[in-house]
Amino acid sequence: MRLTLLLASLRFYLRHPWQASLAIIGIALGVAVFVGVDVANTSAQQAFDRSADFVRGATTHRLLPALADLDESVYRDLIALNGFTGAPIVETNVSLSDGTGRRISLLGIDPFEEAGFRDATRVAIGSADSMLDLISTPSAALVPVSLLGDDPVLPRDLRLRTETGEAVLQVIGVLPSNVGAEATIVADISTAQELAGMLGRISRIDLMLNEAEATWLATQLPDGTVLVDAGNENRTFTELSNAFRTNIIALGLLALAVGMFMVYSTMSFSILQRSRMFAVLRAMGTHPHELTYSIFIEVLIFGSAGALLGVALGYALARLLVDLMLLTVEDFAFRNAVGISGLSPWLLVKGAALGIFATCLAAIEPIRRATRIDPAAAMSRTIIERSSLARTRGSSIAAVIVLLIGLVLLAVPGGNLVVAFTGLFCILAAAALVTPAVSFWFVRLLEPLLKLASPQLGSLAARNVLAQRSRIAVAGSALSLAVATVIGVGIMVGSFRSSLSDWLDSTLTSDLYLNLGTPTEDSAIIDRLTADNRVSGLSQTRFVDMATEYGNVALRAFVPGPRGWGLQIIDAETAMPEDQLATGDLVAISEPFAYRNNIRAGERVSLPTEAGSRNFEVAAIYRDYNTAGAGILMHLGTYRQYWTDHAIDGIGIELHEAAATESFTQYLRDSLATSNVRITSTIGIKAISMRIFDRTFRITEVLRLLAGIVAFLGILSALMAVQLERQHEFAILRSLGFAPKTLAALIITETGIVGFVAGLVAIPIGIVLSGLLIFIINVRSFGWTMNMIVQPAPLILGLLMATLAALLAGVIPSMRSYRSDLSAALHHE
Amino acid sequence: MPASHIHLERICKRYRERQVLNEIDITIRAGELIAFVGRSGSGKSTLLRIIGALERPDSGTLTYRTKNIAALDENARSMFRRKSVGFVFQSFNLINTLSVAENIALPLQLNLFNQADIRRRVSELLEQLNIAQYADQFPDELSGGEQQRVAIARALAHKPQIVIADEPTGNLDLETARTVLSVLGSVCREQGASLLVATHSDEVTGMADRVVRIVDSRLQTL
Amino acid sequence: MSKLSRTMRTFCYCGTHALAVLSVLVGLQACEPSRPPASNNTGIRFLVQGDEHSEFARASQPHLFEFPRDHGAHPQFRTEWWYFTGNLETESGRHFGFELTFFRYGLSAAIPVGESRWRTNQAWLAHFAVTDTKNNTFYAYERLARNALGIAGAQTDQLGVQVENWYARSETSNEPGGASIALAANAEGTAIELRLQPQRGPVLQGDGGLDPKGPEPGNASYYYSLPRLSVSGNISLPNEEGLAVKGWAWLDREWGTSALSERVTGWDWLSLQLSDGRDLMFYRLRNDDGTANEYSGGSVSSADGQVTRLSREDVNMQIMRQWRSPISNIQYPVDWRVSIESLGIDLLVEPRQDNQELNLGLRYWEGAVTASSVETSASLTGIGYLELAGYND
Repeated sequence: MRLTLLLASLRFYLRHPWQASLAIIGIALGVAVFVGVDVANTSAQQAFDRSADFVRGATTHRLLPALADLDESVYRDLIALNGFTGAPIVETNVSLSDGTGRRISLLGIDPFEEAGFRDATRVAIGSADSMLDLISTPSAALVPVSLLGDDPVLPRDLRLRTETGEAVLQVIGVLPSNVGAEATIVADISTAQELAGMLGRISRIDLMLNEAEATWLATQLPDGTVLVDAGNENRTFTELSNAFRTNIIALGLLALAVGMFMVYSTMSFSILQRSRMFAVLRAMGTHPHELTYSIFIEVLIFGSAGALLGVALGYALARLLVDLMLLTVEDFAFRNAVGISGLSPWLLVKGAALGIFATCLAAIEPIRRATRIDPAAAMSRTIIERSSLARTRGSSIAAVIVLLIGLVLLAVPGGNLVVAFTGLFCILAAAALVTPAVSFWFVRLLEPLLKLASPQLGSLAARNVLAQRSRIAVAGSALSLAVATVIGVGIMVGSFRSSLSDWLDSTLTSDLYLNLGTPTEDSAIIDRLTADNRVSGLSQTRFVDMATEYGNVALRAFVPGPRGWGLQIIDAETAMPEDQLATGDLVAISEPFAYRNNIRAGERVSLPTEAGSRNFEVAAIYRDYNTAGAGILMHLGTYRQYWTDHAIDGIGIELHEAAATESFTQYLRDSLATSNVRITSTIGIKAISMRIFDRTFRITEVLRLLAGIVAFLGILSALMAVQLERQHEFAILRSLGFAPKTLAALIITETGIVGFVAGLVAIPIGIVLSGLLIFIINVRSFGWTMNMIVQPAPLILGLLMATLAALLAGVIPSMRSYRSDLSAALHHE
Repeated sequence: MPASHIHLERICKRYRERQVLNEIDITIRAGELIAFVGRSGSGKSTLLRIIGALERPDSGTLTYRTKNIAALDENARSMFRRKSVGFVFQSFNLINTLSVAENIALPLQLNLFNQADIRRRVSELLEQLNIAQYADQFPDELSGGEQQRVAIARALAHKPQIVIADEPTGNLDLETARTVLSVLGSVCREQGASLLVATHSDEVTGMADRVVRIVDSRLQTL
Repeated sequence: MSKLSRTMRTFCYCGTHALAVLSVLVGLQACEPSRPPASNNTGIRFLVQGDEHSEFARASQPHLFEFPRDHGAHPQFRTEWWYFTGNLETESGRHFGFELTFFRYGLSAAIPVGESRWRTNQAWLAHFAVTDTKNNTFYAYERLARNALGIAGAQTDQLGVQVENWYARSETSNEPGGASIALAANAEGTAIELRLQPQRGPVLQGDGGLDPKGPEPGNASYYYSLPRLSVSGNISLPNEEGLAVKGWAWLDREWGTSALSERVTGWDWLSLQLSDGRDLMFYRLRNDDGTANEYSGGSVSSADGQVTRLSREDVNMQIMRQWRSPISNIQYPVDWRVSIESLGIDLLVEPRQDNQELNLGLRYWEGAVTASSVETSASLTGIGYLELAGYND
């Protein structure tokens, strides 16, 4: 009996192959996007872990200077003579004297101490011989393969420019290429000290400590040093990349949700088509649960087929996504070769299980409806779609409940991103639930307009849409939702882009920026610029990467030029916080830093000064879209008061005539030709920033597109199904004298109405969605706020997309109306 | 004559404002052929649906043997339909994705007959209704009369005590209708099943043991 | 003993180049214990020819030993070590064994030119092991460091070696026998803090302190021992702190620029402090066929300072029992019968516990042993240390 029912279903789908394939394609696409995102994320995570391992090795803690460097005796007295496992590191930058001037970092290590960290994939350890040669041969170095070019002969000389002048290294070995991160030259610590001009100094000490040792060591630290937990050190970065991945996963899930809509729509429709059969079966005494079982098996078959296909597609997609993600991730300061992770069975199973589960979930309601079919209906001539009206009320109530849940979730304090996304999904679900009612109300509004446009067809088309509502509703909602996502993400990205542009405009007050390369106390350049009559003012900056209790902080000590600080103030105690910065011991902190550490203006931040840790009052919180996150700004005078560091590393030049920027740049370039100074114009910085921004959001665009494609297929499947099922009705219309051309026009008008209305409904949903993304998701992910700007472009694009998708869905049925066999269609019941 | 086995007492049914059936009392004996006549919408289909346990009356009792069917829950009513009722519909309602033989076998499978019995019974019915040559064809490949024969075979396959036919000939031409009806009547009599037919057809009323008319939601026995 | 040879030997297993020696120490390159030693002896030939390291001094002449100067380092030679082993007991008689060794290795004869204080031509390796007989537990650690900045180094005028916070240094003492030696090491809660008092003068091994390792001139090392050091101090274990202990230790000192014969695959080294006041040291260089190499040797010294040199023919060493390490799966001959007929010595040497394998950059077995007379009528006993190296296949 069960087999007979299954057989009946199977033959049903054999007779309607497009219906089965659309259900399978729907779920396959949803699963593919999800698996693609998941695999890409996992690969990125693995690459990140590898990279972190590379940087960190078995390191549990780092002993860092609050500024600049450490005295090497700290290593001996505090680490070696106390028997701690630690590796001293000297880090410096050199540039190649090969004409390119490419800058590369040089790592000075003690191979013996480094060996204590050997269990982890740490520094580039080549052969043991070369490590010993590193110590015993002055100027010996190991270099990455990329530096050797085509010539593999070793040893050979490598000419460099270093802090102390020209130098020649003797390349005695090659670093394994899997050692990740950026290209690095490795030398003995003694060689590095001499090249960097850091005699007696080291950059940091990597440590392997247990809890007790770390606690004890923390009490022994000399002033100007910080002990940092290596696990926490990259916390900000980890949070950022996690947030980024969560965003992407959410888009993947959205694609899956749209896929679910497709399953829902296909199943609902196939059940609707078979409702007479189910009624007869019920009349014959079949139990509802027997029907459930039979349809469930059907769904399971679809789900499995779709999920397996989806997993396979997903892996293909993952390759594309990994490439895109790499672009982004690079901008998030983590550079590594990310490969696709191996075909992990767990990812496969997860993707397939999720696909099958989603299919079953999507089929619950259609199955329930099948089992509720009134057996008495078998005796009726037509089966009335009376449930759809009753359901409207039911779904309104459900919508309100889901909406409330969503709002509560979004309001949950604590800023958990997953909770926020769940809330966002609830809101979208609520919107999807009320979409059909709203859409058909729109159709009714449109009817008179359509009638005006085409007295013959307009009204008929609108009424036909209304008559088919229970068949179209779900697909319409899915389309609205997908288009709303396209609109919402579009508005968010657009708002972000314009906020970033504004921010760059107001922050980059100068016309030109000089990056001095190495910090200098020499005031020659400043004196010369001050004397130049084309220059109207100068700003000076000292950039310091400071290890603090909040993690690494980018500290900017600044003397503003005449055009001021260029801050976009978000929160401040007073109206003119810039004055407080200039005159008092106050600092300003970046918005992400404030958000992450929950610090408000007027509160205090603790920084390690040379005289020990000191609390600075926060005068203001300023907008900062630097991905590095934590930023602190203070006046250079304040900085010099607490740190004996009189160098600067950046100068901003304000010119009397902005138009002269280019010629002045050329002038500077000529006069500073021999030095390390890099000159960038504000326009250049802006262009680069915007380029990075666009690159970062490329993956978002792709995922948006994918969600759009899934939605397009959804509406295509649903509308095509509806139209193809109406062959009989069309035949009657034809027999009544409708020309094929008129009929085709009717069909296309109908699907066009559906698409247009879906697009219309998507606009408010999309705007709400963008608001949620901007004001909740982005803040929780990155600590950024931005101005929401609703541009017309994404709205029009969404509307066009929906209409176009629906119009296309009408093409095949309308073509069919040309060649359909009238008598057969009329005969066919 | 077998004893009465279906007994309706004070059955009432309303649809919204309209009283469709009002205090219907009727007793149906085993093997009896009753024709229900009346104008469209007079309530004859509703009455058949109530007797076939597809629908519940608003009040009154429907006793089959000793059980009040009207008071049973949906599961028990499903079991009642499965075991004791066979339906013949005006629009045949065959399952187009199952072959003729598979359609006929369906009620037997529902009643958990074993394969051999099913095979035997199906071929018996195919012979009896003269449709053996269509066994492996699908219903939508058959003519209306052939389809209705298949429907009759399906309705009678599990030897139900009650066969309910709602306008069984409504979609058939006169000649075909006559043949189908005589087959239906003779097979029911052969099996001792009560046959309840809602009809406009004089053919049926001519064959019937009893003709019952529904006028103003009440029964008139002619 | 031929610890010089021993170290060389191990070096040669793993390297194809003289400098690969330290690769084992540094642990950068996996030393494959399963590799048949005979298949990879290019290093030996290289060392024997030794032109690259001709700048290093060689032990080709008899040396006029002078103390305390010779307790200090001899950096003109490539390899040198200070090898302390000893048996300790708490007042209640609970036994501990300890090993603390410092190896110095010259990377090049000259110090590289440069201003950085990290510049050096010397590397240090230290091993520290404690045997807790009561709990059948064995702790072993190693340290590696460069000879720079005071992280590791040695004095050249008297005893004073240090690798990070492990050290052995001379301290003034009022007791007879001159200056005492302070020993300290500490790793992951295992620690010793001991004072060693020489009860006897140095015993020069080999031919007046010149100990040949092969037929070539200069393929030899300078070798002396401080065979009887009385010990007192503290020992700590990861969960037991500061147990007061007393006992006896042995110091082996050796330096040179030499190599082992190609045929030698390992060695068994034994030191015993005997109950009749004599001290025994013998190393048996093992040929690839399992026989004793002709350059095996040792000595028996008595309380009055008389030293009897032992050759391969004087000593009969017979394996009595083997033990297989559950960690490395290597089988070690841990029970021995040691007979020196001419001196009336016939002893059964057994470890305090089998579990005394050091699984560090170098893998070998070295542990506390007891000796008892084979003849039940004889009462001669002893305590000491046994080292079993080169059993890697």
